Amino acid sequence: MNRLGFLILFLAATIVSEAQVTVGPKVGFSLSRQKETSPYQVLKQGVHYGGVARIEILDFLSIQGEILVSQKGYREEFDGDQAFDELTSTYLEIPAMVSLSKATNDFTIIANAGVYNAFWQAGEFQSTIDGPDAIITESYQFVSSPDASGYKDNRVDFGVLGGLGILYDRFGSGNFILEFRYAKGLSKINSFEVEPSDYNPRKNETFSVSLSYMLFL
Amino acid sequence: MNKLSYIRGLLAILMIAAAISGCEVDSSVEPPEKEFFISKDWKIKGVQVNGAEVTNTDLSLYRLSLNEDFTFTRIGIEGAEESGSWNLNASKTQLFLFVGQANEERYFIIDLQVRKLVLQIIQDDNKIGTLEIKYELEPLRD
Repeated sequence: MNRLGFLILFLAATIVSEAQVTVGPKVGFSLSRQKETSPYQVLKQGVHYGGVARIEILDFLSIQGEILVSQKGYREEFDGDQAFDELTSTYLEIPAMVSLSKATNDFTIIANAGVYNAFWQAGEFQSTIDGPDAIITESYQFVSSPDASGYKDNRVDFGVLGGLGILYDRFGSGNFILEFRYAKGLSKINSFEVEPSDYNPRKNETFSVSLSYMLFL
Repeated sequence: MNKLSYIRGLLAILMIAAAISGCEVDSSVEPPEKEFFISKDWKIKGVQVNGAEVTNTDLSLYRLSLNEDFTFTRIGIEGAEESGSWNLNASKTQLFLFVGQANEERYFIIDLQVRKLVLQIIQDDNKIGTLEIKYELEPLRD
């Protein structure tokens, strides 16, 4: 390890030792989509769960890291309620954020901004052309290297996120955080060696509401 | 702020999320017919002749692009391209490909799913007899 690395590690250790650290579980509900052009696309429901660590650097400034299992994907419907195609993609996701907070008399308002990196672990299609009584479930078959048409799945997703929430500290010995978050993937989840003229790049986009219970270390 | 207010805040956020979801639904979109599911770019996943799987032929070049305007383009297994128009019969159980003026190909739709189309064509050959050729197609990824 060079001197700079050692210095950064030392400073980080110093900050953490001085800072207030909270950790806890997180669960939530999400609405997501992937396709940029589809007249049938609606937001797909999903869940996410995992753990959160939050380090308070200053009274108003924290950094927050998470590790989550997160469902994303797309859903296409006709009639407004009858789905004919849905992809549920499960990601292992690691968001990292800077968090600003402003305390009021009753709770603390927090604003988060950061990035995430996620790995697409699995996918499942549910589709039907004959209505809800004839749904077909298929596992998503990943194409890791370009196939005969030059298509390839990109299983690593990188994106940006931002959120607003409230921290409420009057539940037992910990804090509750309720957060509404928007995340936009910057990576295409599919690609071609030579993009066809009707290529429709797909990127993850997620709205989520989550609840965390943070305990002091 | 008491717990009741806190719960109200949570409900408000959930209602906003539900409203966003609801706004995405375009009720003016008509339900797709079978043509909607058929009009895609297809490639061959497998071929059976009289029930026997064809294994000694490279099928990777084959493409059948059935367009929404009922035109089609087909690239054969050797790369030759041809085009024409397509249609379904009234009961949506048969697919017709029209290549040129007089050349009509009639396929029975054995199975149709969002990601699967199985077509069967029956050909009479004076030497071999009747051939039942079954094509299992899958859409190109998009």
